[in-house]
Amino acid sequence: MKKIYFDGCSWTFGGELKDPTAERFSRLICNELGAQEVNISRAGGSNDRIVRQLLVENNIEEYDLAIIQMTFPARTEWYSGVDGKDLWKKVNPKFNYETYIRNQGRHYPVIAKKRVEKTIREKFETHKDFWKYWYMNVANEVFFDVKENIHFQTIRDHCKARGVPLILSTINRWSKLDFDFVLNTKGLKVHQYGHPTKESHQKFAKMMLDKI
Amino acid sequence: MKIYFDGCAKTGGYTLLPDVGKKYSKLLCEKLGAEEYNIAQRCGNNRRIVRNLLEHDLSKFDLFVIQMTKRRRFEFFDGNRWISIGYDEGRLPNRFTGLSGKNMVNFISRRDENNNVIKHTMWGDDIITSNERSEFTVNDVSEKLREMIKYLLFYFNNIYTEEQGKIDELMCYSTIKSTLRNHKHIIIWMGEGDCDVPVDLKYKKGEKYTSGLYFGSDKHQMIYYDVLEKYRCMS
Repeated sequence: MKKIYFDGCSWTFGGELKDPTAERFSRLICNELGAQEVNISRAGGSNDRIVRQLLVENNIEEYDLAIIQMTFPARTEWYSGVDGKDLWKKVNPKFNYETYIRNQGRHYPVIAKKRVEKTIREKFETHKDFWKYWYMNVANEVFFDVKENIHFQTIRDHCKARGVPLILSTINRWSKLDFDFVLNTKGLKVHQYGHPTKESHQKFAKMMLDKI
Repeated sequence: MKIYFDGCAKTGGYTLLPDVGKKYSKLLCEKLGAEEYNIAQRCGNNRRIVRNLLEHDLSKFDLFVIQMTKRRRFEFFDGNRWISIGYDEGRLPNRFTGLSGKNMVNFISRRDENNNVIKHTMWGDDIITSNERSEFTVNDVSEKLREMIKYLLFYFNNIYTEEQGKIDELMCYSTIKSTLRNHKHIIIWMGEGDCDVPVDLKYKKGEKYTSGLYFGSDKHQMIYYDVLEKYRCMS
């Protein structure tokens, strides 16, 4: 094993770890296998970003293995045209939106809905009203499920067609798709903002090494 | 033999011409003695094509003819059904603008609950709607629809870009190709603007046809011959 491709969101980046580049599961796996770690994950990253990076920005055939962690399908990105790290702007509603969307129609309190609307507006730097409208009126569970399925198939088939083995996981605990791993299981040790601890990263590394 | 077709109005055989004759899917099926399964729809979009493929049992079909379309189109689920959204330039009559000459504006196209494609645009604060017969009305929409039109126009003007469209087109193409990798398939593209994926056949508006709304029997014959030729090469 020479070179491993990692992508995902903050969970793969090593969010809230003291020393992410040394403690995250991608590093632990590469240490164990003596492989080069290429970790292009980003905090707040979306499945759209993962697919773009896989299809357009990188050549997966240069890698011996791909380990990709999909995230919440409500996240997305848009092209700002402004060079630099914000060329593709991330769009990432807070976690309470995920809970809201998965419970819509099931006695979700009006006051809680208002709180979700407020956090969506507050979260975005630009186009606040548009994104609030989009998330509260256009997007819904069915929309996200289909979008997640298209991304899932694209990632899986792209790697398969190029003969690159893939370990595909998610942090979307509501997903109905057949992932190799769902990472944020109940009881997982996490930090203050919900990211896995050093011990949890060690657990992920072991799970994935067993799979390899 | 059973052939699966998907795409937009052109593959669906929709036209404003009084008699279009047989659409290319019908001609192909007659030639090959096949059963036609055609789920193409007006305002069809690439995301819908992928969703349909993922929702079907592909083993029931012997050939897939997939017609990709304009990459800026998309769909969303309104709680009951999928709504297709397009964005095209069109002429706004002078009586609405008070201006002389041709007033070209951008319209949101929306396939409604009756499968009709309704177009909307904004002029000032007014919502101008054009129905199937190109009859215009002003502000004849609900508050809910007014808000949606406003935000969809905002989306196309401020958020959607060709860069995003290219990625989406590539993603849909990749998924179509890999989903059908063990099945005989021909992928076509029809539309205006550009298509950046290596489809089998390309029909660009302005080059191979003038207007999708006036897609006549000659165009269907042309596509039929091209698809048949591709199929023969494949076989």
